[in-house]
Amino acid sequence: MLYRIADINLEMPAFGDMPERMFQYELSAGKVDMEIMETDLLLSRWEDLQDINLIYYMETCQVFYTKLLRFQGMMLHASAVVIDGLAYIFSGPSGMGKSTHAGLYLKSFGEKAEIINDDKPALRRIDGVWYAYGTPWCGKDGINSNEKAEIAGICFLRRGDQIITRLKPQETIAYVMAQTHRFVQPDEMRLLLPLVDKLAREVPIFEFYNHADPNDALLTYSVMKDAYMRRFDDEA
Amino acid sequence: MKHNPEFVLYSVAGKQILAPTGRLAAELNGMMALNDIGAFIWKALEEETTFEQLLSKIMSKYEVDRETAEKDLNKFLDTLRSFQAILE
Repeated sequence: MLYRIADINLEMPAFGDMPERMFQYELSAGKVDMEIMETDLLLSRWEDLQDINLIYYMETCQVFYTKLLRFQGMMLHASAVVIDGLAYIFSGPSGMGKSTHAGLYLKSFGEKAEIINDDKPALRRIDGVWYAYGTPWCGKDGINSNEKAEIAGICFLRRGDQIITRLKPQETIAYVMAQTHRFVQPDEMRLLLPLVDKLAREVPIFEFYNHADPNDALLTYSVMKDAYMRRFDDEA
Repeated sequence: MKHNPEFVLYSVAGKQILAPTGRLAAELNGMMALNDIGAFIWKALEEETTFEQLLSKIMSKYEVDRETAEKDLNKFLDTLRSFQAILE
């Protein structure tokens, strides 16, 4: 079956219930950019999981995002919200309120805001511009849509008292590396690190200590949008 | 001795990052940041090399007395060994 995910034409057989998760990404015809075959999958690494559909989901996720490195793309464990054509990405360890924060965007901005992936959006650098994409690998709640938006900024969430700070590029490395697929082979690591280097330098990245206050979305939105609007100021 | 090729060194946002890959990435669950001398030593360890060869390389590049260089090199190699980053 042929799909178009993150602007890549993917050829992949119908593994488990993946076709149901992927119907909005189906493509009728086109040149194949990436192939995921039965032989690419290492299902045995998920042997502690019982559900074969879940195993296919986890493994195709791992394989897709590893292959994505060859297309200047990477996974970030995050929730991605789009407003007015720009993506606001909320990342961090589990339990820090990524989905809750994305949910606050829907409350604060209504139909203007859309969550395109609530767990693992794809980030790609194309002609020097970073984009976030909805993908079928989006976590338990299944929230995703086949959309693309330029990234305004990334915000790492922590628990605490409503303080948002812009991080220096070198402060972001450990945060980003902890939330992407880094159990990769050396050749792939040689693709991932240069990508993380560019992400750290080119995309405004923040840290937000929050306690899920209803006004949090308005705060992160205004700070991140402002940084995006001024992103070329420093270079002048 | 030489360095373990399962680690990748790359300058990320101006920091020399030494990242484990594959099985080691899962085991170690972190990365190392090296300073300039550390990165220099890591690169020198790409080929099979002895402690003496390493020491003379460091002393020809950096202004340091033999005693200090030996002590610091030992310490650094021990750190690398603790991360399984050295193949003896």
